[in-house]
Amino acid sequence: MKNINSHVYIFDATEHSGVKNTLVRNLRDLITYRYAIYNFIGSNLRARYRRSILGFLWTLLNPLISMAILAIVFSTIFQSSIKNYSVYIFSGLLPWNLIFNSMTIGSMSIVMGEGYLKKVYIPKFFFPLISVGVEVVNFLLSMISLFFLAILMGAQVSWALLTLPFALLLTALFIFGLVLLASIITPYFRDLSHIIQLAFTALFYLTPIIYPIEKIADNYWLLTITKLNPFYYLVDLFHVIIYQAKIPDSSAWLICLGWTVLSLTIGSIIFNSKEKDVVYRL
Amino acid sequence: MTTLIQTIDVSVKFRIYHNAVPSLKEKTIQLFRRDKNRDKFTEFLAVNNVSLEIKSGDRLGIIGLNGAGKSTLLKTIAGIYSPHQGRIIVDGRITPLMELGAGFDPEQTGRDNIYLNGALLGFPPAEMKEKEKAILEFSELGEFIELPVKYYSTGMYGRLAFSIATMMEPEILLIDEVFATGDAHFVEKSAQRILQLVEQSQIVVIVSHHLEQIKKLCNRAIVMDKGVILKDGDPQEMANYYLDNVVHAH
Repeated sequence: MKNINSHVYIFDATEHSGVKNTLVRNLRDLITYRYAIYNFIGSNLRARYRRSILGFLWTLLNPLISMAILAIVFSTIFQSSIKNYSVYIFSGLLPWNLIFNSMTIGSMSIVMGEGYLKKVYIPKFFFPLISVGVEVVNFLLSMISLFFLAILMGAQVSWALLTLPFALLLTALFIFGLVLLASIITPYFRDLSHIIQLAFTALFYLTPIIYPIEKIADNYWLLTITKLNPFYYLVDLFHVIIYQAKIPDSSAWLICLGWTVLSLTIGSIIFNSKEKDVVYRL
Repeated sequence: MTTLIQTIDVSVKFRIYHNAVPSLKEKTIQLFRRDKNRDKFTEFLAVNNVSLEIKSGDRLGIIGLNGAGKSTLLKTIAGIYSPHQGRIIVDGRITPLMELGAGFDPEQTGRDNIYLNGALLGFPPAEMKEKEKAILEFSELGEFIELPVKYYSTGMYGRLAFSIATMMEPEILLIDEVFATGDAHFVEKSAQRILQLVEQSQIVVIVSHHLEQIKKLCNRAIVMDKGVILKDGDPQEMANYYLDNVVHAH
């Protein structure tokens, strides 16, 4: 692939396109078809809120009610010691929703895109990208609006909040890597989406979101599992920034960056190795 | 810079899997049973070792029976299918006139679909805004343009799809059995439009069962059978060859 002119398109089945070529090709597709991504994300969001009286309010009500239930259950029944429990829940639940929804919807994205993939030329990584993109926008909308409520409940406005976009970026990229992987495997094993759903329901309880990490501090096994769980580190960024109103220290950022690089690398390598074949398996 | 399409020894292999919906559950069971038939599939070459060079000025017609690999070859050139073997070089912007309306989102209005379709062809909204009026006019959809396309009749759907697809200035035009649907008036109008597009384009590749259309629009034709190019040459001769050697031989 010598010529990188935007109109020239060369496909060689014998050539194992190297990392650089693949990157160049994907980047070029991303630029050429970027409007398709905006369009899909926009229509996805609109479709989600259309035909319901409360519309966009559902995005807010959903985490709000979950938060309220969890806050009531944990502070009265379990008598959780943590102060401002609802703010703690809020700061962890929103990123978790981003992770969970991206994963469950994104893993099916290539299968769902069959109608497009077999009939028009469209880069395959668009489908996982759009799934994550929709959830990121959703996260931003809910975060901004719910934050006002969180202030009433005792959240602090601090300079640390300025680092929130980086936490979001890392989380979105990490999950994008996983979604790439899941979406390209699902066409070959259709029941994977059920497994993912179950696995992430389990992960929700294994990740300190509805309880603080201190609760499991004396359980060696649980603590070990948590330390191996990348979602713990990602969600913890949000805990530190919003709940503790502090800027996470550099080791926290580095661990998350490491996980993100790992997930993106594995995800894109496997995605690229299978993307030519997947259309024959849809 | 000359526009061109080149395929060198291109093969496209299709697999028909006997288990239509593959699952991990099945895979695991097979693993324990040491099933020899795991993942049974039948392979066939939809396009078999096709080498073809299409240059600027060529109006190429592809003729052949159903399942000869005509549409697959066209879709491979468009980048929808990846060949298992060989090399494809496409130099020029492709305007596909196949599977009209494939890029439609049924939930979106006709107007929104103009932008979606444009975006799928790589056109920014600003550029589509300029084309919007012409598309509206040509499709004659009037107020229906504000309705989600899932409420459209087949004729309306086809009219909108055709109007969007033909509003681009093509360099390479790939046509797969595109015959406008709708009333006689619209069919007539779209035939005119196709003619106009064919004239404007550098390269045109047409897949059609209408030999008359091939003879009228093309200056070169190939006959395909079972994924292979049998013959390449003048449309009139190819049409006769096809009738004598392919249609009657079967």
